[in-house]
Amino acid sequence: MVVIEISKKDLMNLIGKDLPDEELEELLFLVKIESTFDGDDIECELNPDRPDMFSVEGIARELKGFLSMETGMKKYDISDSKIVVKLENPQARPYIACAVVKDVVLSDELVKSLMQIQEKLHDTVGRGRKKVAIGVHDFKKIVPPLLYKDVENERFIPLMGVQEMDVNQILEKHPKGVAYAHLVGKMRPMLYDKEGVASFPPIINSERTKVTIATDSLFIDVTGTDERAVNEALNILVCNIAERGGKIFTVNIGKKRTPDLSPKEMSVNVEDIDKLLGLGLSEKDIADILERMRYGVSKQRGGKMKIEIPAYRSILHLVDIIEDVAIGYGYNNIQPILPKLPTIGSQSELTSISRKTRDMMIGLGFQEIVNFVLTSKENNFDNMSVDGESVELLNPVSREYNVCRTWLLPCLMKNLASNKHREYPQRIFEVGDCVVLDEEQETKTRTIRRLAGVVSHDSANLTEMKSLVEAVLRNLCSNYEIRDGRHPSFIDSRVGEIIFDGKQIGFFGEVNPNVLENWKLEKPVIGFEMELV
Amino acid sequence: MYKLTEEGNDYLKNGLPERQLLKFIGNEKTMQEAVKFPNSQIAVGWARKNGWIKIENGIIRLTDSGKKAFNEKTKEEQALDNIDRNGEAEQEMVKTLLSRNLIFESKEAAVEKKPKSSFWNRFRKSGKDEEKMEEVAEIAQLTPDVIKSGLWKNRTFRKYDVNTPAPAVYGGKKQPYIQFLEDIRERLIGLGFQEMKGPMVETLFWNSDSLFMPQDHPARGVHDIFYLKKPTQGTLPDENLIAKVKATHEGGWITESTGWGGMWSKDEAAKLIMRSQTTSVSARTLFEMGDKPGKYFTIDTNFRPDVIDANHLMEFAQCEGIVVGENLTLSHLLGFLKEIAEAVGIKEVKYKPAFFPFTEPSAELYGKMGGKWIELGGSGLFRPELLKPLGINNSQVLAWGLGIGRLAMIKLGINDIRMLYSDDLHFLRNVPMVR
Repeated sequence: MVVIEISKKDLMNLIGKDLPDEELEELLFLVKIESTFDGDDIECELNPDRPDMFSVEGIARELKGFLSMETGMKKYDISDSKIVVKLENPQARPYIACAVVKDVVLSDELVKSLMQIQEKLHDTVGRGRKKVAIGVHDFKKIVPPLLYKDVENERFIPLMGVQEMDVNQILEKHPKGVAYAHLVGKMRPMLYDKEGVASFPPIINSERTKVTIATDSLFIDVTGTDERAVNEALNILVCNIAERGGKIFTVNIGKKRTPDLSPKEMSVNVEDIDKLLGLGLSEKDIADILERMRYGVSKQRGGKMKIEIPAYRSILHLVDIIEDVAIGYGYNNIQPILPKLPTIGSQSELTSISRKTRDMMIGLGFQEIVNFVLTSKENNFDNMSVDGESVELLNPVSREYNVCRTWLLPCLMKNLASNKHREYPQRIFEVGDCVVLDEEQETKTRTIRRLAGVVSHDSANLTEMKSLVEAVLRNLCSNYEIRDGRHPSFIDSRVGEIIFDGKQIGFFGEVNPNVLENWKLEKPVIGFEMELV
Repeated sequence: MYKLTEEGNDYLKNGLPERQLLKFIGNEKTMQEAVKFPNSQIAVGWARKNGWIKIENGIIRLTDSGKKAFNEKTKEEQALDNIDRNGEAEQEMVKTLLSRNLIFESKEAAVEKKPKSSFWNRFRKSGKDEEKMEEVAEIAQLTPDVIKSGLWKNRTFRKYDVNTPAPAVYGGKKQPYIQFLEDIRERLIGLGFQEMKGPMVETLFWNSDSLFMPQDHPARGVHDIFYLKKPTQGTLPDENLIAKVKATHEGGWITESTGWGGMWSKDEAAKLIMRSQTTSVSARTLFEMGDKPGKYFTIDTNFRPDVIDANHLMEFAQCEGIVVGENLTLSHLLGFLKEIAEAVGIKEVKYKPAFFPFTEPSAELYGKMGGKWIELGGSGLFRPELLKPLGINNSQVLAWGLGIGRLAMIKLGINDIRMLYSDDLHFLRNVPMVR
């Protein structure tokens, strides 16, 4: 989610119509924007698929269409500035696109909105300036021609600075340099005009070309590692600025000319659109809606329709346009239909056996507890006096949860430890998932379902545990076997192993006082654990 | 093990006679007035023994320690309290209380031979001898002997006071969140959904790439996904599938999509993580089942690196499902959402356009609960860029997910999500069943 703040008054001015708060909120909801009103301020939560609406100008353009006040694809006047940016084999950020917007009234609203969308584009489309970085300059201070190349070092006064700094100083000392130094290698991308450095992307512009109150024309540079994203960001910027007036001019970048505002075209069958929506829309219905959603539409032969996609939109696939048709139609105008698709519902084998096991444990008087799969190394191994290996997290949020549990008993011991002040006897169990390492598997691990139970009271002993374990086993498998065993968590001579099909599937016993001490437990604990499937 | 006699119980509730006396006296009372006080002899006796009162010239006055005793529990009272709770107290106090007939040993025989309660005292006072009393003794506990001997025919049963507290029995029961999830599971099965399962540790391939999430998508960062220190790399599924997913990401392959551009990396896809969405299970199911029509669901655990607080857990259950069939539409998706909302008890719903990286069109489901619109979950039609590589060529797939934790909190009436995984035995033993 992307959050931007806009002024209601500004939005209403741009649309040219005044709407009550409730109506506007509902309208925004219908175009995928969740809004919160606070006086004149509106906080808008937007989806990352509509970067063109990351500023009030883009929202106004969309709403004007939705309200049928201005429909069809918006065409912006564009001419050539004849300005040239020479490329000298830039490698670090190989793609650059520039534009000039003249006759701009640099109102407070535009400045605020421009700074906001620049920041949001950096975060989203720009992936934290890695993929795309934007620089905005006072066009009148740019002295063409420009040159874009990689250099090792350079000296200039960075924006908001007073003295010249070299690139290394900027990366070490300037706040923007510190924040984005990780994006810069040994060779640094640099945009020059005749007077010197204009921009050091993705870090900082030069103070010399900065925008002031007196500015009435803008020069915009967008650089990055992905050509499509670079162009998309520039297109959004110039189109949104032009919503407040101003004239867009292209810049010659090597052999290319940017921005390229010519629409992408898509030729579609009308049926393909309705096939995914099931609304029974006619060709005219669809064309009307598409125009309200700011697409250009024209008829073609053979039931086909040509759709023009505005240059500020990023459309991957026809389905993205189809969703706009649904939005234009109104989700809440759609009649929900339940298709006839008879299938037989069923639970998985694992769920089935888990449920039956739970019922059985409850019948034996145990209270069920559900613990997290994530736990600490200390709890899973050390506190149980055992060694072992488990899945380990690379970026744990806390030391309490840094591995996946490999068995359940440690969790139940923790539960006992946090219930020392509650009434005894305590009988608790868990049926839950554990994760163990397994080199053979696609995920190098196996998720396994286990069952464990513990009992604690003054006179708990192995006999009581054996009775319970045998009750469990009678129900789970007919031909089990119990034999003497050893387990470091239990008292040496008081452990039983559960054998099924010649394989050890579990164990039970009296918990070793060492382990009880680790958990600060003062009453005897008996317990068992086994693999369920 | 000791238990309170009727008298003991009475005093536990209303205070020992000497304490009742303290309140009665206030500052001072004449002996004449004091005699009218019930059990005055016992009360005055013990109050004097405790040094609470002084009697001078036929007037009873509170001493300093008597005034102090107003706000303090006596040893006797504490012991009475302990015996009521645990059946035990210090030995000295047990002796005193036994001598005062306020407690008795609970191992007593079926027919109480010497129930030294106030009932018996009354008999004594009325001058009857103990022999006679034996014969009219009441039956406290019905035993096989009493039944066989016919003894019960000419005796009465001692009256039980049903208001007397009985020891608590808890037994075992299902954890409340599990109860809730089982209900949801049952209802989805009722709607014809078949349960699917998948591993908790996943490759990014199944968790994200197969869902057409670009490799530089912010939701793949360390703030949204738990990466693993051990093991780090998994194995990718068959080469054919990998090639299709790669081609789709890079340039759209045959899906008529532009794709994301850039280079798609196998190593990145093979990274192991803790599953961040059960949608990975849906992707695995689709790859396995292909175009075969069906309805599938899963309720299982996902992981995200959130700091635990009242609204966030780093581990949480998600409930989601898919419907595979030819000619399915957005109208059908909304139909299913309505049906699923109804299955979890929500009658009134509305829809909002939404965005998810792997569905288009997408919709959010809102339901009215307690007069308020609550976001219930997200949904959409899986994108062709997801379907075609997995081998879904002729069908549409409707996908939906419910915010199951939030629903459970509303249902259980709790406002701290940590309570869903509470291990507090007091809470678990006393919480009523989930309806």
